[in-house]
Amino acid sequence: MNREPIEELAALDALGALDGEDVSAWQKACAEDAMASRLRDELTDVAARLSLLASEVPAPSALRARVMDAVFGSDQIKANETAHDEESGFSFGWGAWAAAAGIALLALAGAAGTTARKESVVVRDARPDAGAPFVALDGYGDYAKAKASVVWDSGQRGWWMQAEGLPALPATHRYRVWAVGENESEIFDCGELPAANGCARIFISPDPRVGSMRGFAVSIEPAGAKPESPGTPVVLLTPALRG
Amino acid sequence: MSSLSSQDDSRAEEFDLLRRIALGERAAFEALYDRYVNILYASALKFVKEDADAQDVVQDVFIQIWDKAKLYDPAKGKPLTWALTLTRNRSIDRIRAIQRRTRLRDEFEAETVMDESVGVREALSGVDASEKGQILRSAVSQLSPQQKKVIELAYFGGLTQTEIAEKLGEPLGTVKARARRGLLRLKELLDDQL
Repeated sequence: MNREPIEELAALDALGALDGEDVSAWQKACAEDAMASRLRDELTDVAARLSLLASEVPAPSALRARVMDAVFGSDQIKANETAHDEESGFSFGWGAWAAAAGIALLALAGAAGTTARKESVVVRDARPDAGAPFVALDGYGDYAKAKASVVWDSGQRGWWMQAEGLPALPATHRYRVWAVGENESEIFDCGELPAANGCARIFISPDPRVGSMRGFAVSIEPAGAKPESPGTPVVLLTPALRG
Repeated sequence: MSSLSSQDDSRAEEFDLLRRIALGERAAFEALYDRYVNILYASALKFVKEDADAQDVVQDVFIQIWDKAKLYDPAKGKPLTWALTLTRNRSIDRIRAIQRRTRLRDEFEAETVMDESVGVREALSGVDASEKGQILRSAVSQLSPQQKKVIELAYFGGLTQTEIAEKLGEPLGTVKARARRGLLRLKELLDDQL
């Protein structure tokens, strides 16, 4: 068997340069050929070593406290939030969010960017097809002017979410994106949605634990928090998730 | 032999740190931070150029390490490889987000005019004198200028194969072949050395 095409795709994947039809062809090859996936991992390792060409520059000492605050400070907040939810008897459910938030919504715009992501060591998207290429999110009530859409980027094998009309939040809170699997109990944190002047855009890497996607939501969460499930209010929600 | 053994020990320690991070152990996370932060910061700085951007990238990377350590699969690569890949991807995302990509490419183009082999030399600018740096520099120097250029544009410039072909005015198949030959050659030269 001619290995050159496999080696080419593996090299391009390792360098983050795959795009177009080669993305799906390569995913198929890796799924069917253990040697292909092994070569991909080996070349990804080689490519990563290129980063070692950078001279070692001492990181600012203040960065350590900043990172620790970002990671562990939020855990404390999360614990507090969880305790609060338990005390209030809050029952989680997408329908409940929609009702509680009085959600409103919208449609939205395109996506861009072409970074071929290859955090293959642990977060490679193994699904052959990411499903629908475009998902609109709706909002309600106080958030009726918000608009958002999610577009699948086959080149980067991930989604771009773009939103507009987001109300300004106090410094204590942030917008946060959630992905929901076909089983609505599968809810995954996609990170903060940084908004400026009512607009925001974020790239969402597929979570390897999700077999197929049902939709997305955007909630408002305390700044720095890393909640395991969305709180209220939910600002934007895929129509299919309304219960 | 002792060097290889030392490398194995170091990797074993890093695997163990990630395992403990996955269990939520703060001390392990802090130990991994102290072990990786300088190299990740330097790597990020290489891409994004600005200190503030590099710090943001490094923070994002460590948050991701904390969040996703439980998904780490040792069979698929070394912890440092994973961390560097995260850093590269976050850096490229940031470059795109702040519309700085054109500037980087222009810089690369300017340097290429001065020296055809500059593709990887650009990546090597400021290279440290460490053994790793020397091994890498030696390996990279053995690639052809065309191979270096494709690797540079893809890995450090964040361009896709199609974009590289358009930029260089070369057929897509040529770009693929250069990427393949270049990276396989690097693999051959670096295997068991780093």
